[in-house]
Amino acid sequence: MNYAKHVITAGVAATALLLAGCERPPVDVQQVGFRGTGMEQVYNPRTVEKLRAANVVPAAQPATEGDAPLAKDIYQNIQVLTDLNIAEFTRLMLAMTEWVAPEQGCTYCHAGEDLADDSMYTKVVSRKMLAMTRNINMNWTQHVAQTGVTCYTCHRGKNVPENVWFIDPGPRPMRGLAADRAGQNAPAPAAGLTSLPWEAFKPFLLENEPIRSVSSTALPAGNTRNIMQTEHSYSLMIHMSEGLGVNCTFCHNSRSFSVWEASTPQRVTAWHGIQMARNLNVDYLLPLTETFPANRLGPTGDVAKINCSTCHQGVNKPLYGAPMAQDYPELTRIKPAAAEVDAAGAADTATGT
Amino acid sequence: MPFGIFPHLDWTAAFSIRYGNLFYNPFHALSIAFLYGSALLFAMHAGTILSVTRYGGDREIEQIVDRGTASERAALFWRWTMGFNASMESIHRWAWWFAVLCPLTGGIGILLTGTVVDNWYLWAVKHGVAPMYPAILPPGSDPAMGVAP
Repeated sequence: MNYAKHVITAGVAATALLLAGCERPPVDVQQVGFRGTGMEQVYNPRTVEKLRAANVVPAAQPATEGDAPLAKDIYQNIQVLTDLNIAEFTRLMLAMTEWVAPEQGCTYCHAGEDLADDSMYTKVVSRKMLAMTRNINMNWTQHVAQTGVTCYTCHRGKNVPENVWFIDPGPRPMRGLAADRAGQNAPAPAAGLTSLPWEAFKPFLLENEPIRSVSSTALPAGNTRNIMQTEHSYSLMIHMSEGLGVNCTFCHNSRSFSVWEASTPQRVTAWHGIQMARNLNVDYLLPLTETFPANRLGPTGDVAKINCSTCHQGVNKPLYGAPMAQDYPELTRIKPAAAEVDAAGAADTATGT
Repeated sequence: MPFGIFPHLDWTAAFSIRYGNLFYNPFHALSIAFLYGSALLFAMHAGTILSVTRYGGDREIEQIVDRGTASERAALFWRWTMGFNASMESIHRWAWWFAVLCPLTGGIGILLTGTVVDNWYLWAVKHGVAPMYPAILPPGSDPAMGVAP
């Protein structure tokens, strides 16, 4: 009798523990393709409610009017925002303070009275980030369209964007026969705690490793991609799914993940996103490695880098597609002069592949 | 290499993706039919025994060599519900073949994958097995076409 009671208690406890890992129903299902083909998006209305609340755009700074002298003629040491007049320049500085350092204020980047002084690393970094933002808005419209990005898209009022990535050294190595995990088979934080390779980003968002594994012919024709390489691509795909808060079928038709003609238009946008993230990491973040102090670097001493979550933060269009950048033509409208491009070190990478 | 439950599941999913969706592999379909068929036969076998227990059906071996009402009623049950005659001997043959054919067909499906067929979806399209659906969304096209990889 006592024994049966223990068994029932243990059973109830185990079931409760198992179910605790699930999201509570009901969930909403949106059909996005032909009926019966499983082209659906599943949304948890409670998660969506939280995301809506977390993705509110702050009010824009009052727009500037009339002509004013160029800021570079008045201030010293302006390298990127050379085309802004003094009113636009001040407006952008105020907005940046609100977006990136609302608590610390101007002195987060500027050392005391001398605004031209570059002695604080944060100022050097923000200059690079301004060049990057302009590059995204002007040259990556295949990904960001006319919506564009501002500092707030990633920063959200924080000094460092909440979602950045570092090279993952992996779990503590084991010994003996289990010593070589080959980079996988342990819960991977980057890949939604699957056992897929834990370094989901380095091959694709830093290096330009091939991501396509599926054969494009029905019969074998020399495709030597193996399952482990496929799993590596899979890791990044899990990250994209988590980072955008969507199912695989947002971009892919699950009957054939590889065939473009069966995929949704979003897959093309996402493809450009992968190229964009890689280019930004290589051209803007990597060169800042020496600029950052050690406490801002990752466990292996690498610089913080961009992935899909950095901007998207769980939503398929960052900030639910609010066209925030349109309020800041300072970040979008003017093509940088040739001299400025050289200064920003972004010359030939803008339209990358 | 897939060691452990989760690595095994991830490996399976990646295997299917690599070779263009095993859903379109007919031997995969056969293997699943035998797998689910085995489970169904196993459950029905147990259910039949339980239902004729009061006639001695639980003493299956004795009933086989010395037919009683249990075996007669069990056979009737199968003829009425499943539409075929399953005797106490034949039901075990059915189950044996279903159980054996599950890994056998599955194994053939795996052996054909990557050797004879490299993308099962395209194979199914080629042979008219995969149905085509009306396009709801504008179809995508490969943005890397014409761009060096």
